[in-house]
Amino acid sequence: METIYSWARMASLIRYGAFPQEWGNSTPGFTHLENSYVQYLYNVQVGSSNVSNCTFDGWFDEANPAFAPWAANSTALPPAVEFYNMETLRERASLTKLDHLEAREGRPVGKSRGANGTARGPTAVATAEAPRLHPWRLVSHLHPWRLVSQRRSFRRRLERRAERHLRERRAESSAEGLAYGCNVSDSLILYAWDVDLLRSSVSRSTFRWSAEGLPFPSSWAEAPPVNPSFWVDLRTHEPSSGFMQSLNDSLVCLRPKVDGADEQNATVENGTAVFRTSIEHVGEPLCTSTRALQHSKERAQHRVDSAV
Amino acid sequence: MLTFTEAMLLNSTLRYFGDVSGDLGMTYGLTQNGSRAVGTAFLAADPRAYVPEYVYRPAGYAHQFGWYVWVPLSASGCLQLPRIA
Repeated sequence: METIYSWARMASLIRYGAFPQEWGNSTPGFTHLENSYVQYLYNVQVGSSNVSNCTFDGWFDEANPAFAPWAANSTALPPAVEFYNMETLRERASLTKLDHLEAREGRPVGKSRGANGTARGPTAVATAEAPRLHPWRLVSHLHPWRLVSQRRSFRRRLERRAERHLRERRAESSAEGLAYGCNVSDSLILYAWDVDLLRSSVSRSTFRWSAEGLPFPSSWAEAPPVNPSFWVDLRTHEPSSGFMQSLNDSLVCLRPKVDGADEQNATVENGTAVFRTSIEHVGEPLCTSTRALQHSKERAQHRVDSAV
Repeated sequence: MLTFTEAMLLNSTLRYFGDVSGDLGMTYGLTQNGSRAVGTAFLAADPRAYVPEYVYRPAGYAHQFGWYVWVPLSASGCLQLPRIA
Protein backbone atom coordinates (compact mmCIF):
# COMPACT_ATOMS: atom_id res chain seq x y z
CA MET A 1 0.00 0.00 0.00
CA GLU A 2 2.79 2.30 0.91
CA THR A 3 4.47 1.57 -2.40
CA ILE A 4 1.31 2.44 -4.27
CA TYR A 5 1.07 5.68 -2.36
CA SER A 6 4.68 6.49 -3.14
CA TRP A 7 4.18 5.88 -6.84
CA ALA A 8 1.01 7.92 -6.83
CA ARG A 9 2.81 10.72 -5.15
CA MET A 10 5.73 10.47 -7.56
CA ALA A 11 3.32 10.62 -10.49
CA SER A 12 1.66 13.67 -9.03
CA LEU A 13 5.02 15.31 -8.54
CA ILE A 14 5.87 14.76 -12.17
CA ARG A 15 2.57 16.26 -13.20
CA TYR A 16 2.25 19.10 -10.76
CA GLY A 17 5.71 19.82 -9.43
CA ALA A 18 6.82 19.95 -5.84
CA PHE A 19 4.03 19.77 -3.31
CA PRO A 20 3.95 20.14 0.40
CA GLN A 21 3.29 16.83 2.03
CA GLU A 22 0.60 18.43 4.12
CA TRP A 23 -1.51 18.67 0.98
CA GLY A 24 -1.52 14.88 0.75
CA ASN A 25 -1.43 12.98 -2.49
CA SER A 26 -4.64 14.38 -3.81
CA THR A 27 -2.76 17.06 -5.62
CA PRO A 28 -5.42 18.00 -8.15
CA GLY A 29 -7.69 18.76 -5.25
CA PHE A 30 -5.51 21.64 -4.30
CA THR A 31 -4.71 23.14 -7.62
CA HIS A 32 -6.15 26.61 -7.44
CA LEU A 33 -5.62 27.56 -11.06
CA GLU A 34 -5.45 24.66 -13.48
CA ASN A 35 -5.82 24.32 -17.24
CA SER A 36 -6.94 27.91 -17.33
CA TYR A 37 -6.25 30.91 -19.50
CA VAL A 38 -5.94 34.34 -17.95
CA GLN A 39 -5.97 37.37 -20.17
CA TYR A 40 -4.94 40.19 -17.89
CA LEU A 41 -5.22 43.92 -18.32
CA TYR A 42 -2.22 45.17 -16.40
CA ASN A 43 -1.09 43.42 -13.22
CA VAL A 44 -1.19 39.84 -12.07
CA GLN A 45 -0.72 39.03 -8.40
CA VAL A 46 -0.90 35.43 -7.28
CA GLY A 47 -0.32 34.69 -3.61
CA SER A 48 0.35 31.21 -2.19
CA SER A 49 -1.58 29.52 -4.96
CA ASN A 50 -1.00 26.25 -6.73
CA VAL A 51 -0.94 26.95 -10.44
CA SER A 52 -0.64 24.23 -13.05
CA ASN A 53 -0.90 24.16 -16.79
CA CYS A 54 -2.09 27.75 -17.12
CA THR A 55 -1.39 30.60 -19.48
CA PHE A 56 -1.16 34.23 -18.44
CA ASP A 57 -1.40 36.50 -21.41
CA GLY A 58 -1.65 40.26 -21.44
CA TRP A 59 -4.39 41.97 -23.39
CA PHE A 60 -1.98 43.85 -25.61
CA ASP A 61 -4.47 45.76 -27.64
CA GLU A 62 -5.14 49.40 -28.37
CA ALA A 63 -8.49 48.96 -26.72
CA ASN A 64 -6.73 48.34 -23.45
CA PRO A 65 -6.39 51.77 -21.89
CA ALA A 66 -3.51 50.61 -19.79
CA PHE A 67 -1.33 50.33 -22.85
CA ALA A 68 -2.91 52.86 -25.14
CA PRO A 69 -0.54 55.74 -25.92
CA TRP A 70 -3.15 58.29 -25.04
CA ALA A 71 -3.64 56.75 -21.62
CA ALA A 72 -0.08 55.92 -20.68
CA ASN A 73 0.43 57.29 -17.21
CA SER A 74 3.82 58.84 -16.77
CA THR A 75 3.86 58.09 -13.06
CA ALA A 76 2.55 54.56 -13.18
CA LEU A 77 4.65 51.61 -12.24
CA PRO A 78 5.08 49.21 -15.09
CA PRO A 79 2.80 46.23 -15.25
CA ALA A 80 4.01 43.21 -13.35
CA VAL A 81 3.33 39.55 -12.89
CA GLU A 82 3.99 38.50 -9.32
CA PHE A 83 4.02 35.09 -7.67
CA TYR A 84 4.71 35.27 -3.97
CA ASN A 85 4.19 33.84 -0.52
CA MET A 86 1.37 35.65 1.17
CA GLU A 87 2.18 34.81 4.73
CA THR A 88 5.86 35.44 5.12
CA LEU A 89 6.92 37.56 2.26
CA ARG A 90 5.28 40.86 2.47
CA GLU A 91 7.25 42.68 5.11
CA ARG A 92 10.69 41.46 4.19
CA ALA A 93 10.03 41.70 0.50
CA SER A 94 8.97 45.29 0.78
CA LEU A 95 12.16 46.11 2.57
CA THR A 96 14.24 44.22 0.06
CA LYS A 97 12.54 46.06 -2.73
CA LEU A 98 13.21 49.29 -0.91
CA ASP A 99 16.83 48.32 -0.53
CA HIS A 100 17.12 47.90 -4.25
CA LEU A 101 15.40 51.13 -5.00
CA GLU A 102 17.28 53.13 -2.43
CA ALA A 103 20.59 51.77 -3.61
CA ARG A 104 19.71 52.86 -7.10
CA GLU A 105 18.38 56.21 -6.02
CA GLY A 106 21.12 56.91 -3.54
CA ARG A 107 18.59 58.21 -1.09
CA PRO A 108 15.66 56.95 0.95
CA VAL A 109 12.97 56.34 -1.60
CA GLY A 110 10.00 56.31 0.69
CA LYS A 111 10.69 59.70 2.24
CA SER A 112 10.15 61.90 -0.72
CA ARG A 113 8.85 60.00 -3.65
CA GLY A 114 5.32 58.93 -4.14
CA ALA A 115 4.03 57.80 -7.46
CA ASN A 116 1.40 60.51 -7.33
CA GLY A 117 3.75 63.10 -5.93
CA THR A 118 2.63 62.82 -2.36
CA ALA A 119 5.14 62.38 0.38
CA ARG A 120 5.25 59.04 2.09
CA GLY A 121 7.52 58.03 4.90
CA PRO A 122 9.37 54.75 5.11
CA THR A 123 7.17 53.72 7.99
CA ALA A 124 4.11 54.09 5.84
CA VAL A 125 5.72 51.99 3.17
CA ALA A 126 6.75 49.29 5.60
CA THR A 127 3.35 49.31 7.19
CA ALA A 128 1.69 48.81 3.88
CA GLU A 129 3.59 45.54 3.57
CA ALA A 130 3.85 45.25 -0.16
CA PRO A 131 6.83 44.70 -2.41
CA ARG A 132 5.92 47.47 -4.78
CA LEU A 133 5.61 51.12 -4.19
CA HIS A 134 2.58 52.42 -5.92
CA PRO A 135 -0.22 53.47 -3.57
CA TRP A 136 -2.88 51.57 -5.48
CA ARG A 137 -0.82 48.48 -5.47
CA LEU A 138 -0.02 48.92 -1.83
CA VAL A 139 -3.70 48.64 -1.23
CA SER A 140 -4.64 46.16 -3.86
CA HIS A 141 -1.77 43.87 -3.02
CA LEU A 142 -3.04 43.39 0.46
CA HIS A 143 -5.15 40.47 1.31
CA PRO A 144 -8.58 41.51 2.55
CA TRP A 145 -7.64 40.30 6.00
CA ARG A 146 -5.01 42.93 6.08
CA LEU A 147 -6.87 45.82 4.57
CA VAL A 148 -7.83 47.49 7.79
CA SER A 149 -6.27 47.41 11.19
CA GLN A 150 -9.47 46.10 12.68
CA ARG A 151 -9.25 43.01 10.56
CA ARG A 152 -5.61 42.66 11.45
CA SER A 153 -6.55 42.67 15.07
CA PHE A 154 -9.32 40.19 14.42
CA ARG A 155 -6.96 37.95 12.54
CA ARG A 156 -4.39 38.07 15.34
CA ARG A 157 -7.07 36.97 17.76
CA LEU A 158 -7.95 34.11 15.48
CA GLU A 159 -4.36 33.08 15.16
CA ARG A 160 -3.76 33.14 18.88
CA ARG A 161 -6.87 31.11 19.36
CA ALA A 162 -5.86 28.69 16.64
CA GLU A 163 -2.42 28.37 18.13
CA ARG A 164 -3.88 27.11 21.37
CA HIS A 165 -6.55 25.02 19.72
CA LEU A 166 -4.31 23.25 17.27
CA ARG A 167 -1.32 22.75 19.51
CA GLU A 168 -1.71 19.02 19.76
CA ARG A 169 -2.27 18.60 16.06
CA ARG A 170 0.68 20.77 15.28
CA ALA A 171 2.86 18.80 17.61
CA GLU A 172 2.21 15.77 15.46
CA SER A 173 2.58 17.57 12.21
CA SER A 174 5.72 18.40 10.30
CA ALA A 175 4.05 21.51 9.06
CA GLU A 176 4.58 23.47 12.21
CA GLY A 177 5.55 26.98 11.41
CA LEU A 178 5.91 26.35 7.72
CA ALA A 179 4.74 28.72 5.07
CA TYR A 180 3.93 28.12 1.44
CA GLY A 181 4.46 30.25 -1.57
CA CYS A 182 3.11 29.71 -5.03
CA ASN A 183 3.74 26.46 -6.83
CA VAL A 184 3.73 27.14 -10.55
CA SER A 185 4.19 24.30 -13.02
CA ASP A 186 3.77 23.69 -16.74
CA SER A 187 2.61 27.22 -17.35
CA LEU A 188 3.25 29.97 -19.83
CA ILE A 189 3.59 33.51 -18.58
CA LEU A 190 3.63 36.20 -21.24
CA TYR A 191 4.55 39.38 -19.44
CA ALA A 192 4.64 43.02 -20.36
CA TRP A 193 7.42 44.48 -18.24
CA ASP A 194 8.18 43.14 -14.75
CA VAL A 195 8.14 39.72 -13.13
CA ASP A 196 8.56 38.95 -9.43
CA LEU A 197 9.07 35.37 -8.28
CA LEU A 198 9.25 35.52 -4.53
CA ARG A 199 9.50 32.55 -2.17
CA SER A 200 7.73 30.26 -4.56
CA SER A 201 8.46 27.26 -6.74
CA VAL A 202 8.43 27.21 -10.52
CA SER A 203 8.75 24.11 -12.68
CA ARG A 204 8.60 23.47 -16.40
CA SER A 205 7.31 26.92 -17.21
CA THR A 206 8.12 29.63 -19.69
CA PHE A 207 8.34 33.33 -19.02
CA ARG A 208 8.44 35.48 -22.09
CA TRP A 209 8.40 39.22 -22.60
CA SER A 210 5.63 39.71 -25.10
CA ALA A 211 5.07 43.41 -25.39
CA GLU A 212 6.83 44.00 -28.67
CA GLY A 213 5.77 47.33 -30.07
CA LEU A 214 4.04 48.32 -26.89
CA PRO A 215 4.33 52.07 -26.28
CA PHE A 216 5.50 52.75 -22.77
CA PRO A 217 6.04 55.88 -20.70
CA SER A 218 9.58 56.90 -19.93
CA SER A 219 8.99 56.28 -16.23
CA TRP A 220 9.07 52.56 -16.87
CA ALA A 221 12.68 52.82 -17.94
CA GLU A 222 13.85 55.16 -15.22
CA ALA A 223 14.91 54.56 -11.66
CA PRO A 224 12.90 53.65 -9.81
CA PRO A 225 11.68 51.24 -10.92
CA VAL A 226 14.04 49.60 -13.36
CA ASN A 227 15.54 46.62 -11.64
CA PRO A 228 14.96 44.18 -10.28
CA SER A 229 12.71 43.94 -13.29
CA PHE A 230 12.86 40.17 -13.41
CA TRP A 231 13.23 39.49 -9.74
CA VAL A 232 13.82 35.94 -8.52
CA ASP A 233 14.08 35.71 -4.74
CA LEU A 234 13.12 32.15 -3.84
CA ARG A 235 15.30 31.51 -0.76
CA THR A 236 15.48 27.85 -1.65
CA HIS A 237 16.88 26.57 1.61
CA GLU A 238 14.80 28.69 3.93
CA PRO A 239 13.84 26.44 6.87
CA SER A 240 10.36 27.87 7.16
CA SER A 241 9.34 27.06 3.60
CA GLY A 242 6.78 24.31 3.24
CA PHE A 243 8.35 22.96 0.09
CA MET A 244 11.50 23.48 -1.88
CA GLN A 245 11.43 26.85 -3.53
CA SER A 246 13.43 26.74 -6.73
CA LEU A 247 13.25 27.47 -10.42
CA ASN A 248 13.40 24.24 -12.41
CA ASP A 249 13.35 23.15 -16.03
CA SER A 250 12.09 26.48 -17.24
CA LEU A 251 12.83 29.04 -19.90
CA VAL A 252 13.05 32.76 -19.34
CA CYS A 253 13.00 35.10 -22.32
CA LEU A 254 13.78 38.58 -21.06
CA ARG A 255 13.04 41.90 -22.68
CA PRO A 256 15.85 42.87 -25.04
CA LYS A 257 17.07 46.40 -25.48
CA VAL A 258 14.31 48.46 -27.03
CA ASP A 259 14.02 52.10 -27.94
CA GLY A 260 14.01 54.01 -24.71
CA ALA A 261 14.93 51.17 -22.38
CA ASP A 262 17.95 49.02 -21.73
CA GLU A 263 17.67 45.28 -21.82
CA GLN A 264 16.08 43.60 -18.88
CA ASN A 265 18.27 41.69 -16.47
CA ALA A 266 17.37 38.85 -14.18
CA THR A 267 18.10 39.44 -10.52
CA VAL A 268 18.55 36.08 -8.83
CA GLU A 269 19.42 36.40 -5.18
CA ASN A 270 19.20 35.23 -1.58
CA GLY A 271 20.17 31.63 -2.12
CA THR A 272 17.86 30.97 -5.02
CA ALA A 273 18.53 27.61 -6.67
CA VAL A 274 18.02 27.43 -10.40
CA PHE A 275 18.08 24.03 -12.07
CA ARG A 276 18.09 23.25 -15.78
CA THR A 277 16.74 26.68 -16.61
CA SER A 278 17.82 28.93 -19.46
CA ILE A 279 17.69 32.68 -19.15
CA GLU A 280 18.04 34.54 -22.42
CA HIS A 281 16.63 37.56 -24.16
CA VAL A 282 13.91 37.54 -26.74
CA GLY A 283 15.59 37.13 -30.09
CA GLU A 284 18.27 34.81 -28.85
CA PRO A 285 18.28 31.19 -30.04
CA LEU A 286 16.33 29.42 -27.34
CA CYS A 287 13.72 32.14 -27.27
CA THR A 288 13.08 32.12 -30.98
CA SER A 289 12.99 28.46 -31.76
CA THR A 290 11.45 26.87 -28.76
CA ARG A 291 9.02 24.15 -29.56
CA ALA A 292 7.71 24.17 -26.04
CA LEU A 293 6.88 27.85 -26.26
CA GLN A 294 5.18 27.39 -29.57
CA HIS A 295 3.26 24.47 -28.20
CA SER A 296 2.17 26.52 -25.22
CA LYS A 297 1.04 29.36 -27.42
CA GLU A 298 -0.96 27.03 -29.59
CA ARG A 299 -2.49 25.51 -26.51
CA ALA A 300 -3.44 28.96 -25.22
CA GLN A 301 -4.89 29.93 -28.56
CA HIS A 302 -6.88 26.74 -28.60
CA ARG A 303 -8.31 27.60 -25.23
CA VAL A 304 -9.31 31.06 -26.41
CA ASP A 305 -10.88 29.65 -29.55
CA SER A 306 -12.74 27.11 -27.50
CA ALA A 307 -13.96 29.79 -25.17
CA VAL A 308 -15.18 31.97 -27.99
CA MET B 1 -14.77 43.87 -10.42
CA LEU B 2 -15.22 40.12 -10.33
CA THR B 3 -14.70 38.73 -6.86
CA PHE B 4 -14.81 35.04 -6.09
CA THR B 5 -14.73 33.80 -2.53
CA GLU B 6 -14.26 30.12 -1.82
CA ALA B 7 -15.56 29.59 -5.32
CA MET B 8 -15.11 26.76 -7.79
CA LEU B 9 -15.03 27.79 -11.43
CA LEU B 10 -15.16 24.81 -13.73
CA ASN B 11 -14.97 24.90 -17.53
CA SER B 12 -16.21 28.45 -17.66
CA THR B 13 -15.55 31.50 -19.78
CA LEU B 14 -15.66 34.91 -18.19
CA ARG B 15 -15.39 38.20 -19.97
CA TYR B 16 -14.39 41.07 -17.79
CA PHE B 17 -12.95 44.51 -17.66
CA GLY B 18 -11.31 45.89 -14.57
CA ASP B 19 -10.24 43.66 -11.72
CA VAL B 20 -10.56 40.00 -10.87
CA SER B 21 -10.04 38.64 -7.39
CA GLY B 22 -10.04 35.03 -6.28
CA ASP B 23 -10.14 34.77 -2.55
CA LEU B 24 -10.55 32.52 0.43
CA GLY B 25 -13.48 32.75 2.74
CA MET B 26 -13.58 34.88 5.81
CA THR B 27 -15.87 32.70 7.87
CA TYR B 28 -14.20 31.32 10.93
CA GLY B 29 -15.02 27.79 11.92
CA LEU B 30 -15.08 26.63 8.32
CA THR B 31 -12.38 25.42 6.00
CA GLN B 32 -10.47 27.96 3.99
CA ASN B 33 -9.22 26.50 0.75
CA GLY B 34 -9.36 29.52 -1.48
CA SER B 35 -11.03 29.84 -4.83
CA ARG B 36 -10.30 27.50 -7.68
CA ALA B 37 -10.51 27.84 -11.43
CA VAL B 38 -10.17 24.73 -13.58
CA GLY B 39 -10.51 24.78 -17.34
CA THR B 40 -11.57 28.38 -17.17
CA ALA B 41 -10.77 31.30 -19.44
CA PHE B 42 -10.70 34.89 -18.23
CA LEU B 43 -10.99 37.07 -21.30
CA ALA B 44 -10.68 40.81 -21.39
CA ALA B 45 -13.59 42.69 -22.90
CA ASP B 46 -13.69 46.19 -24.30
CA PRO B 47 -16.28 48.05 -22.23
CA ARG B 48 -16.84 50.56 -25.02
CA ALA B 49 -18.44 47.79 -27.00
CA TYR B 50 -21.17 47.63 -24.38
CA VAL B 51 -21.22 51.15 -22.93
CA PRO B 52 -20.27 53.68 -25.59
CA GLU B 53 -19.85 56.51 -23.10
CA TYR B 54 -17.71 54.42 -20.78
CA VAL B 55 -14.96 56.46 -19.16
CA TYR B 56 -11.78 54.73 -18.19
CA ARG B 57 -10.16 55.16 -14.87
CA PRO B 58 -7.25 57.52 -15.34
CA ALA B 59 -4.46 55.19 -14.29
CA GLY B 60 -3.76 52.00 -16.15
CA TYR B 61 -2.24 50.30 -13.17
CA ALA B 62 -5.62 50.00 -11.53
CA HIS B 63 -6.47 46.85 -13.46
CA GLN B 64 -5.45 43.74 -11.67
CA PHE B 65 -5.93 40.01 -11.74
CA GLY B 66 -5.34 38.69 -8.24
CA TRP B 67 -5.62 35.19 -6.86
CA TYR B 68 -5.00 34.89 -3.16
CA VAL B 69 -4.92 31.69 -1.21
CA TRP B 70 -4.25 31.01 2.37
CA VAL B 71 -2.09 27.93 2.67
CA PRO B 72 -3.19 24.91 4.63
CA LEU B 73 -1.88 24.42 8.11
CA SER B 74 -3.45 21.12 9.04
CA ALA B 75 -2.76 17.68 7.68
CA SER B 76 -6.20 17.60 6.14
CA GLY B 77 -5.15 20.35 3.84
CA CYS B 78 -7.43 22.98 5.22
CA LEU B 79 -6.92 25.87 7.52
CA GLN B 80 -9.57 25.55 10.17
CA LEU B 81 -10.09 28.55 12.32
CA PRO B 82 -11.83 27.90 15.61
CA ARG B 83 -14.61 30.06 16.89
CA ILE B 84 -13.80 32.86 19.23
CA ALA B 85 -15.45 32.51 22.57
